[in-house]
Amino acid sequence: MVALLFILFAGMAIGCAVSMVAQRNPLYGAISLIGVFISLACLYVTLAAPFIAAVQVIVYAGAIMVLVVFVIMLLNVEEEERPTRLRSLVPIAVVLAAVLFAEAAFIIYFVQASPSTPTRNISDVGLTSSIGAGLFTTYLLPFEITSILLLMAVVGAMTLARTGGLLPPRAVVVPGHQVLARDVLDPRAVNEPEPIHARSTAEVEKILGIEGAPHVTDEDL
Amino acid sequence: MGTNNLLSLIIFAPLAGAVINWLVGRRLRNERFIGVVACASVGISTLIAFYLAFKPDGALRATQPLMDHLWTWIQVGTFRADFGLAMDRLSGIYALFITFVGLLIHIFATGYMHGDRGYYRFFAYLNLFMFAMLTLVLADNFLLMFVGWEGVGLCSYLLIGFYLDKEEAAPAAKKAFIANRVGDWGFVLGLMLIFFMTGSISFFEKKALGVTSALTAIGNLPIDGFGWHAIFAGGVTSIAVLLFIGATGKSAQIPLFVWLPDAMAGPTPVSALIHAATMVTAGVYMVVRCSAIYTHAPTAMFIVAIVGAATALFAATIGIAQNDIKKVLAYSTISQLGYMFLACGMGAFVAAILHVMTHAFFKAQLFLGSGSVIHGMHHEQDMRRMGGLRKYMPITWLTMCAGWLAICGVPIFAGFFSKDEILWKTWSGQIAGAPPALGKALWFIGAVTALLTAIYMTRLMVMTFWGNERFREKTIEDSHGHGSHGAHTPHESPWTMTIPLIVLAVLSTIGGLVGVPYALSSLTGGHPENYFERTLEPAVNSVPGEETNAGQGTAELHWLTPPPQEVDGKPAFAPAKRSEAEAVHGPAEISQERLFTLISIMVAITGIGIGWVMFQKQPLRQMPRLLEHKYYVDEIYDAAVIQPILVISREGLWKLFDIGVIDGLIHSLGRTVVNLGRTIRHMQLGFVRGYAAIILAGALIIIGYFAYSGAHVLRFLVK
Amino acid sequence: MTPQLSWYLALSAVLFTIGVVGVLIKRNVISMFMCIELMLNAVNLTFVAFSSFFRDVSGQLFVFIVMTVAAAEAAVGLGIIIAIFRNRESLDVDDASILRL
Repeated sequence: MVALLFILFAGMAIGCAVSMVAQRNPLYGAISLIGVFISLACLYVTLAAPFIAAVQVIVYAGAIMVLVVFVIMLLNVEEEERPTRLRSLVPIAVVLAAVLFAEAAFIIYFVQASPSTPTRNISDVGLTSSIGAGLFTTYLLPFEITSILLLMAVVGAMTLARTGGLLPPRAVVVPGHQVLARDVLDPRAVNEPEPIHARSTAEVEKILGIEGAPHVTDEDL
Repeated sequence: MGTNNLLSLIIFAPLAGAVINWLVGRRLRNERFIGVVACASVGISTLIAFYLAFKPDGALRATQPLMDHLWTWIQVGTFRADFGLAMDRLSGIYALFITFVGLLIHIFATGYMHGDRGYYRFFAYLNLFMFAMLTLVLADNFLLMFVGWEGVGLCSYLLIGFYLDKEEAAPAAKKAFIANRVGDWGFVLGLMLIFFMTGSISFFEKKALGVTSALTAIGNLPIDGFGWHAIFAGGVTSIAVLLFIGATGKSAQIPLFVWLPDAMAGPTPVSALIHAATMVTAGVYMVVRCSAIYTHAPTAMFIVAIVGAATALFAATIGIAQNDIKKVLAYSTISQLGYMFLACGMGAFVAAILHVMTHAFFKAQLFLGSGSVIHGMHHEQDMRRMGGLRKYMPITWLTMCAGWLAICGVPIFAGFFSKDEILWKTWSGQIAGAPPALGKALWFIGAVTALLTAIYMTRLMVMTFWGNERFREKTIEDSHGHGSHGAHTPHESPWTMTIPLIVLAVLSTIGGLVGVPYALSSLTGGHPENYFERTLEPAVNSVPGEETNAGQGTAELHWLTPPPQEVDGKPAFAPAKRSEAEAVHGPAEISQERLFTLISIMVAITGIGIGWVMFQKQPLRQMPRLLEHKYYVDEIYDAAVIQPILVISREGLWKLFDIGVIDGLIHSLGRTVVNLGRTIRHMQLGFVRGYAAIILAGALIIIGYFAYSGAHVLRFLVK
Repeated sequence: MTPQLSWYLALSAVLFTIGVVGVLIKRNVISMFMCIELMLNAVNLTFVAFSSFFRDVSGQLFVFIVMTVAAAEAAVGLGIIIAIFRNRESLDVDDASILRL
């Protein structure tokens, strides 16, 4: 019975994973990934780890994937075209992956054949109480450091979201009405109170009067 | 055998003249200075040579050669080659006529080359040539002779190509040098084989220095058998054949004669000196010097005789169809050289040397005379545009008549005695192991050649000096494309040119009288000595069967002629003993010899008559085209030898090997490095996916290592 | 029969491999990112499987930490992606190829 469930969920996981890799539209890929997460959560349940299963759904499928979908929508990502460069990477990837799987299989065989591997999982360590007990006693330090890590992530995300200084030449002002302090864009205008209302870089350049200015391009870098 | 320092002066005087002319004459550019230096240096050599030859214990009188050891050149292990000179009878005779004829030609050239921009260069080369030639004949070992041998080849190249603006001069010079070189291959191999067999390469024994004579050593060996096997056996016959190959190159015999006609592109004094009198006779000198080797190798003598006779006939047939005056004389030279080798082959070495000497006289005379004609005709060489010149150039005409009669073999002129002797010795000669009729057959070829010689020489004289003055006509077909020089009147040459002509004409007339054979001299009842034969006989080996002792007759004198009677004046020698060979000159032999002399005279006069009749009325008679185109020999050589070599070199050695293999190796090395770089470059293109792939690959390697090494541990855990 | 440990491990290996292939093949940055998430999840499955079969809670605790880190990484990573997008107007990872010699 459990085997049947395993096969079901495993098949779903693999199917969604393959689908995610094969999809050209990243949005469909995101949705496939959600499918993977759900099936993995079910597998966790079969492994008597309900807490992890719940956390998986809440964090991965509920938070991370939402974020990813937000970003996809925001950036208006289009479908991926056929690759023109590095076409040789596809067969190389397949080969490397095959080698990786072979090595993994090699190890898994020995793991299975080892006499100290238990054959039945009747575990009671997946309950929330045991996880909580471990988390706040033995593994307290990692817990605290993880919280600092999250803090760093928040700060980093905020920093990255800011824009400052003259707009780089190929930057696109995110659609929507932008109100920018004048001296953020133009260091000459220190005491000018009038802000700039712009919708795109071209508009900013027109307002600043630097339309024909040479742009730094990738090749110069 | 005393050391004689004067001997070295003979060869170093012309060398000094060459150096002075090259360095100083070039600056001064004064023709008188250059001419005087050149002629004086050769004059010094001439005087010394005559002195050393004719003094009471000089080279022509003494039993041992005059030697001069200058320094030890090479001494490695048992191999020893000295820079040493030796004048014995053979080289004495050679030195005499080389220096004298050379001097005359130098004087002639001062007049002939007047006005040429390369005057100093010409005389520098000419003196250098004299140095090399005298080294060749005065050397006392094979290696030094080879130095002179190569030196004359070099000077021949320099002098043939002297006219820098003449298009055909440079290829002709190259051809001469290369043909000589092919022969030199044989010479060097023979030289090495001599050293291998005898441990020495010296001609003479120098007890004081511990040098043995190679020729004596070979002379003590048994005589080789007759047959093909002897040639490849590595014995005396191989040596003889190899040396002869060198002689065919230097002395223009079949198959290496092709350079001599082309060599006429050089100035006429060069043709006279090098290609008539001296260089081409070096081959004959070598063969006669090595007479000890040849008399022990009958197969080689057979080959020499056959090649000589064939060449004589071959060249004579071509000579009657040539229209350039110098080309006729060139083929005549080849033909006469064939006679000399024929004589050597039949064992008549003395007769060969006599013919060398007389040929030097009359051929130099003929060449210089033709040079005078060319000079007077303002450098016109085609006989079809000459004619009737005897009115305008009387001295040239008269002197050339002397040369003409000499070469045809008319009695008392020089060529008669030598040629007649050769023909007689051919008829009566034997080669051990060869068919007995060989001599008769070769005599016949020689007689036909003599006929042809007379015909073509008469043709030359008639076309040039008699008949209508064709140089006035403008209608003669011209292969050069420009009009004839009919407007110029030919003039006689200046005294610098006519004096040598006169001297040589006198020599051509009386020069043969030193070699009158006994059969004829006994007719007159006068001095029945063959001076020449007596002088030279001890220096050369005789054909086996005619004498009992082998080896060089340095200790005893052998007489083939009866001992001289005291008719008028004491003879120069005291007779030592009679040899059994005296029987050769019994009465039957003598009358046969006289008969053949008569036949020779008849042949000569018949030839002159035929030539006169054929060409006096019709000087422009067309000769067979095959002969005019010299049997297409050059074309055949080009197609059969030169083109294949060129193709192999260009396609095979150059394109295939040099560019393909050697350059290809280097290039492929470079290309490999470039390709390696190009491949490795892909590792860092900036593409993130590429980097990811490389990271993954590295990780797999590490995982693989751990998995493999960990498996040992895990294996023990498996049930 | 009950699923063995090796089954779960094999499944995890397969998912990981698929993730690897995706990282190398996909040209869209966000797709690449999602494949990396897939790889992380495969590892999570391994940890949970081992924890379950060996009755050790530290496996699941590790998964907990991994998830947290993945979340943080997602936030920062997507911020970077947006910043790059602003700069280049392209989400093709091949266009960001100036990090080379």
